[in-house]
Amino acid sequence: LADRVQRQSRIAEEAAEWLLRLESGSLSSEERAGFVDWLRESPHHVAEMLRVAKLHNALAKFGQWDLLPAGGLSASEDLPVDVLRRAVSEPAPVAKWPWALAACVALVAASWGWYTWTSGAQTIRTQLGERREMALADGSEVALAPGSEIRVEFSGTRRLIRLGYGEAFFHVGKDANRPFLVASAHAQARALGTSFSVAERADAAVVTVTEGKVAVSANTGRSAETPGTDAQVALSTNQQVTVSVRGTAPVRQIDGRVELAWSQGQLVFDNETVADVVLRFNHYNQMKIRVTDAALAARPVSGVFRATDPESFVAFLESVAGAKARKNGAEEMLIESSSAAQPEVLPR
Amino acid sequence: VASADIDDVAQEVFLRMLRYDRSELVQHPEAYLYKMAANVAAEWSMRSSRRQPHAAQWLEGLEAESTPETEFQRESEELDLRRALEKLPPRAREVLRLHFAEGLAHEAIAVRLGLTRRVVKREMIRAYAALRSTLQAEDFS
Repeated sequence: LADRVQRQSRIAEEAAEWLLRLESGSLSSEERAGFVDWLRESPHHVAEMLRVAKLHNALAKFGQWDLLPAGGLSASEDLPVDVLRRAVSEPAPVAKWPWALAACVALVAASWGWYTWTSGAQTIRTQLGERREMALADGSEVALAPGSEIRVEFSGTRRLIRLGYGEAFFHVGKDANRPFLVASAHAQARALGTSFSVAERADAAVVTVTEGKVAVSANTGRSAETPGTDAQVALSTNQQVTVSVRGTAPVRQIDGRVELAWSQGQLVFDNETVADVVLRFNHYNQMKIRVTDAALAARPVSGVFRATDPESFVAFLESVAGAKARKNGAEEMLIESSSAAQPEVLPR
Repeated sequence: VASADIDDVAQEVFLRMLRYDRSELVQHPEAYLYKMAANVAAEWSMRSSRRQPHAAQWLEGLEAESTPETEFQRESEELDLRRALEKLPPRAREVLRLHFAEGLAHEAIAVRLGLTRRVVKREMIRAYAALRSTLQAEDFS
């Protein structure tokens, strides 16, 4: 019996050691292989790992540290022997299965969060005026609008992207076993193989689908693993929906190519005011355009421009609207009305 | 009714891990471990609910966070943990407190207590093992 207790205690220490290693950061592939081999050595190892992880979660949630005797090094250190003796004298009672299930359900719910911060997640950010395109590990492609941030958290069971702020367009590689999830503050979108974008605004998120199907639901703060069990909206090609704290707006039919032209580096304007167009250009470029004439700013324009080529838009204004452009230092372009009237400075 | 506890779940997870492609497991071992455990638990809850109508209700109680039963269960688990922590040697308890209550990493704990990192890690591992053996009896009582 003493042997059994000793063996049990050794397995517990091994499991704890694995847990600490998992917790302290990303393991090398050799270490992960070692962990797999250890688990596959014995069901006792698997059981102990589950129990130690459950203990870890309980410690992380424990709220009564202040009620414990103060930690000092003066008190006697011979307690572990006592602990072992207790374990021997009290045989484990026969388990009733609901307890085990409780343990497992709680374990899985809590360990998910634990896993996501121990695995190597990757954060990708763009500055104002910067647009980035990249391929993700699963073959999916992402285009990040200026001033955006995503966090890529892929695992064996799901591909999770957290959109911190800004807008991102995804062309999702097919993987039926791992749903592709995008979670932002306001919305969650789930796709299997499709192209769509999620734009996080101040008080809402806008999800736009250019190809395939995406399930969208409000982000209720629950795990992104199970989005959309309530109030789910199914979007298909050329549809868009806005999700805000006030609820989900009706689905709109849109032209996906126009809406997401930015992901191709294009800006498409259909009857938008010069002021709005300027705002969009300024989002992409170091050189800022400033319109000093209110009538010109309110004037509607249409056209397709390269986002990184504000000069072409300025030239367009000069030829079509008769405006005059004037450089004000390296980083500002003033657009003035060519008329002799007193220019009125727009509030910024 | 088959009694299934963590050992039974672990047995099944163990078998699945043996059947599973090793190189696949190595990619994300802990994710597979928890996913498999969750699957086994879910499958058994389905099977059991067919036999036992009570089990399904019991499960619902689990998911709704704030029912009196789960609240009671959570409190009693917290109490068990507190008792087990009280039995730890003071230094081990202090290491755990600094880590979980103050969020200190091993290095910072070592500095705070004037120990080496190695000793802190050793202390943590022993603390887990000691807590596990104290809680074992109470785990399923």
